[in-house]
Amino acid sequence: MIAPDDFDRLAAYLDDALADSDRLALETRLKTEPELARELVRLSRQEAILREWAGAMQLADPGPAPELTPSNRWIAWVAVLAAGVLLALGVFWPHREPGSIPEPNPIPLLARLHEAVGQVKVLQPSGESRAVLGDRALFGTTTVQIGG
Amino acid sequence: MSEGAAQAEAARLLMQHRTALYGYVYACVRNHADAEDILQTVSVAVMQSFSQLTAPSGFLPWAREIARRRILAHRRTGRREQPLDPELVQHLAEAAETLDKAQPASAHHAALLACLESLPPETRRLITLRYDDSIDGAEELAEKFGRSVQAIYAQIKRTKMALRACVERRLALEDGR
Repeated sequence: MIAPDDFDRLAAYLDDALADSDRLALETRLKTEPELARELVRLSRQEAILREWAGAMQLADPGPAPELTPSNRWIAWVAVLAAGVLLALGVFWPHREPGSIPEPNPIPLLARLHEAVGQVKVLQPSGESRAVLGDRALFGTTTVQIGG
Repeated sequence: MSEGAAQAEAARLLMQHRTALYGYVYACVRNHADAEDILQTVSVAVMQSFSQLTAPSGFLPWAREIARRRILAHRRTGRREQPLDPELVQHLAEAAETLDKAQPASAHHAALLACLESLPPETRRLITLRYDDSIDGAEELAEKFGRSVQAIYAQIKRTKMALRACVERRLALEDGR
């Protein structure tokens, strides 16, 4: 059963603010008290949501040069990872509609960036940097950048 | 499903279940930088082995198991070098699974966002600054609000307890519908 002061103890545990003896005692309880373990995960989940929310609030703030928060950096990172995979697919398996005639193009389209969230930019060969939008075409001469 | 569509689906599921995965990982490592690092390695593993997943409904348990292994493999950085207890990491995985079934992270997320909206503006600002990494430590936060460090800690603690209670009320109301 969870005692009222267990909430404080769990919060201190997440903050790494417990003495070693208290930490070990709590970890022993976490292994034998499923309700306490669930409460720790619930509290940890709340921390995750608060960080994500605070990051979104910061990005919504029209202040100068917003930085990517860790959670938004992760989302941007996943988007770029997905784009990277799509790029690789475009390089190794250039697809063409059956029966279609390829149009001559000195810089072939490799892929389209499916999705991007956060500070993701595409660097053009000219040196111009543009914020990434959904469905951005990616050519062999473009470079994808993420902030942070 | 084509390779590209599968990768897009993997990315979508990762984003959909980020809160649940992060909640589990952070409960184990109790360090945000470590949790972010682990989540990135989990994302790579998920993208690479997504074809092994037979049904999208099994995504979260599958990804959580990948996370459990990555947590144990992760070498902790910084001053806290105490090894992670595999038994504890397993118990927390079981707790996360039970919690995800009883109270999906998406419901928790929606309820908490609604509760945050109901906070007074100054309290909301305090919570934003506490969590957005723009302030370096409690001293700077206390200075910004013209209060003592203890008073700021106490207010953050009260607010988090109030948010927890608010979330529980909202989720109970939804369950009763």
